[in-house]
Amino acid sequence: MHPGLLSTLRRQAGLRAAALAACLACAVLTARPGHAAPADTDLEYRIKAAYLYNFTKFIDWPPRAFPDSKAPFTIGILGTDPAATHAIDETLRGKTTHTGRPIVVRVFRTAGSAAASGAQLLFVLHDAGVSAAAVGRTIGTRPVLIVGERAGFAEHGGTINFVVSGDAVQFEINPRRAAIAGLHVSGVVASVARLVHDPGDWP
Amino acid sequence: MDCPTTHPSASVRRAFRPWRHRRRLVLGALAALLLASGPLRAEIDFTQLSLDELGEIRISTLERRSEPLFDTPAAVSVLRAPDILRAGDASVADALRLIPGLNVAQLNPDKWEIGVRGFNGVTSTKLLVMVDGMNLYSPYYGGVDWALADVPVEDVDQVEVVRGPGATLWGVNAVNGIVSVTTKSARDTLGALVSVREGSTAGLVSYARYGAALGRHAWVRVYARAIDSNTATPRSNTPGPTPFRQVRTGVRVDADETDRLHFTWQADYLLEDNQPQLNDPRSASAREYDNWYDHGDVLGRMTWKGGAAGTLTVQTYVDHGGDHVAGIPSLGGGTLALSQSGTDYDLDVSDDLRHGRHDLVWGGGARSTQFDIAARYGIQVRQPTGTENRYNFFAQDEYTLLPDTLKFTYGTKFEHHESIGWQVLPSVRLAWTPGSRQTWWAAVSRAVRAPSRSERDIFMPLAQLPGSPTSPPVDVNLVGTTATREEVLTAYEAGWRFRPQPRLTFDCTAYVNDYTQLRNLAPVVSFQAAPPAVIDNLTIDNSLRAVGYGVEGQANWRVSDTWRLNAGVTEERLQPRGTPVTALVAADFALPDLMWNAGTWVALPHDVEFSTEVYRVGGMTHTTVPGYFRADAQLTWRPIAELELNVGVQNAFEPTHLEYGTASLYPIAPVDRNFFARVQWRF
Repeated sequence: MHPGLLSTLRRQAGLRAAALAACLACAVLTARPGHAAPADTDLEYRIKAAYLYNFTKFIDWPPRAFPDSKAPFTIGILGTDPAATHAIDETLRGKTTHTGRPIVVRVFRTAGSAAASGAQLLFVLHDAGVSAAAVGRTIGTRPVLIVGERAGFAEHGGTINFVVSGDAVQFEINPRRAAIAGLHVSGVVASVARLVHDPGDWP
Repeated sequence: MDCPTTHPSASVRRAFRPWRHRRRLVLGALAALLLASGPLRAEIDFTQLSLDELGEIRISTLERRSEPLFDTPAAVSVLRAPDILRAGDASVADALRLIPGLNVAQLNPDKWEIGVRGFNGVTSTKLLVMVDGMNLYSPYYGGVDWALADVPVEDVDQVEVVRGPGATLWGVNAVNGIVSVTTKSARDTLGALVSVREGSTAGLVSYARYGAALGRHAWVRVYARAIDSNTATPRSNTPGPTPFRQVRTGVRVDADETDRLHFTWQADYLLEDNQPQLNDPRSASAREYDNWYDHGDVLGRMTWKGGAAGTLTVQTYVDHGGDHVAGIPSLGGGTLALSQSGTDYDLDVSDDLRHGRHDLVWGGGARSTQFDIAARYGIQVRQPTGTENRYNFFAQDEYTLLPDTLKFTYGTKFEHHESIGWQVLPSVRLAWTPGSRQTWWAAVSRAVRAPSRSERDIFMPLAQLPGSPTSPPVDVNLVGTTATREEVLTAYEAGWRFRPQPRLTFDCTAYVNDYTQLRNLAPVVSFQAAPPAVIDNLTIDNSLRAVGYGVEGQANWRVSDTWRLNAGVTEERLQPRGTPVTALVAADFALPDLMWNAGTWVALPHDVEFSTEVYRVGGMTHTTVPGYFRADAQLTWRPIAELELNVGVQNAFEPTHLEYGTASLYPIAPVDRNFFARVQWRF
């Protein structure tokens, strides 16, 4: 090869390497590391709704929970967070349980009205303005799965509590509270849940 | 048996990005949608996900915690905690049989050799093993003691396996693969758990842990596990499995100061006492010896996200191990006692910066090892005590050429060892994702293995051949030399992942490995005048080359919420170029000529689950180990949420079979059929 050409090529290769190094340095120096994004409420409640759907598959309600074999499965929501209720409603719209009952999502004002209208699952949102103990007392031994999303909810009257751990939605379950309501929690649920217990201050 | 996840997990990208926290994931077709804006997201049916999968989605970043990265340009598999528990294994090492390409050989109830892409005949020297970011590759003998990696299965969060080199981020000795075991955060192990497992030939395993919150932002876990193999049914033939008693205990604290700052502290301690049965050459029968070893570690790690520095991880740890064995008969007469201890001080820093189309990971590390090899009675070590330092720095950039379609990853590590100087460990990788259902990838990388202390320093009498009136006796010795150099691999890999529907995945990889400077022995013969003798020093050199090639495939199918199927197959070859001097050197190249496995997991009514897996491991090339079938099955019943009962069998097909060759650091015993029962109580 012509020596001049070779040196030109070498120079170009050197230039290219220098340019690459400069690009890299720029990338490093100008990187604007993203601030941790705020939790995405919509996604969070779509995931929670999907959990509720899974609970209907892996938890058995006693026959007394339903007025008849055709009755829908009612998921009651306590609380007003519009983003949450919208996401839950949209995720579960048109779904049926594995036993063929249509799933109906309804928003209630009080635990009492939810119980009176025969909801099988009650999801107490963060803004429900009512304590786990109060909900637990209102529901009593009725066959209702009480789900919450505040620290201590499952220890103090609730059955299941969502916990955001390391940015992922996981859940705790209080097996004794489930038994009080006559619900049978399958091993599949128990094996992925954290177990919690009443400290004795409820009801 | 549950399917191990086929695809690379987020943190296995840490195989390529150490300590990087959970990367973006993608549920295949859902990926683009997840990343898309709100209205599109409404089209994703989250109700199709299982309970385990829902728990994996990260809600602030739209990324998945440890689910497969469909587009990772490497052969990566992940075993998550439920996979391991459903497999019914008492140890992490046994659970790794589920991953194609891994040749798991059990030598004894507490010892395994695990090979990947060959080199599993004497000691598996080319697989790097990490537990919670701590490197367990021994600088003394150049292998891994799996008893140290065998953390309680109840505490395992996930096990990530990379087949192929990962030296660009993991450094020297990450030659043919990496296994990274991570334990659960203390936040995820609140409450008490007690389990007891009794095996007919594996003995008794008792485990207890307790986790509690320390205020609002910190959590602690303490645990202890005891294994007593002496309760096992004794074997009639000898040599049998080595009886042992082992205790492992530890504590871990995790704290979230804010959303962006996370701290982990942990400390663990392991103590084992065992009685290996070795052949006494003088009486030609097996007899028991005494060995005890211990290992402890203290680790601190800080992860800081979202500051001006990107995601910064700083980790430091100290570990200390000691190993003492006495009374091993020596072929040269007398007995051998080998006692060694070592302390590692390790510091690693890594940082992940994303900007535009670049995702740059860079960092460095330093490690200082103090060793004390108090060799006596025959084994001599040229330098019995000392300090070895090594340090490294690295950078790797993932450049998106076409968004969501084409990514180019390039980088290198520079690592310095006193024995081999500076090493450059580059790799380039390309991933092409044409549509959401498949990914094609290819990679070229360089990796090296540093010679162990014993390869450089040892002097060990191997045999003394008696003389005759016409010829003097011959002393055969194994001699290490400081001239021993690094073993070098250039690897070419390509892979294909295919997800025809969200619940069905295929993962295939093909590779060609080109090795140079592999270890061999060269006879150096000299004559000794008085007393007259021929001295044959088998000296370690680097005169071998080798070529390996193979294909690995894996398929997982989640048929329904209550039924899963999985299968894997590996076919590979490894041939030395050059002449291995002894059968022992040739055995270094051993691998099974064909491996496959197939299994299923099914949830039955009444809270009963059944899982089973059948493994076929072909005969080991370059050794005399025959092929074998292994069949495991487990029945699980959870009558109430707090209680879990398991019964099962391992090696159902055969009363006993051998899984490893004739030479190892550890005594080798056949693996027996094992019936087991286990009880677990949470409260």
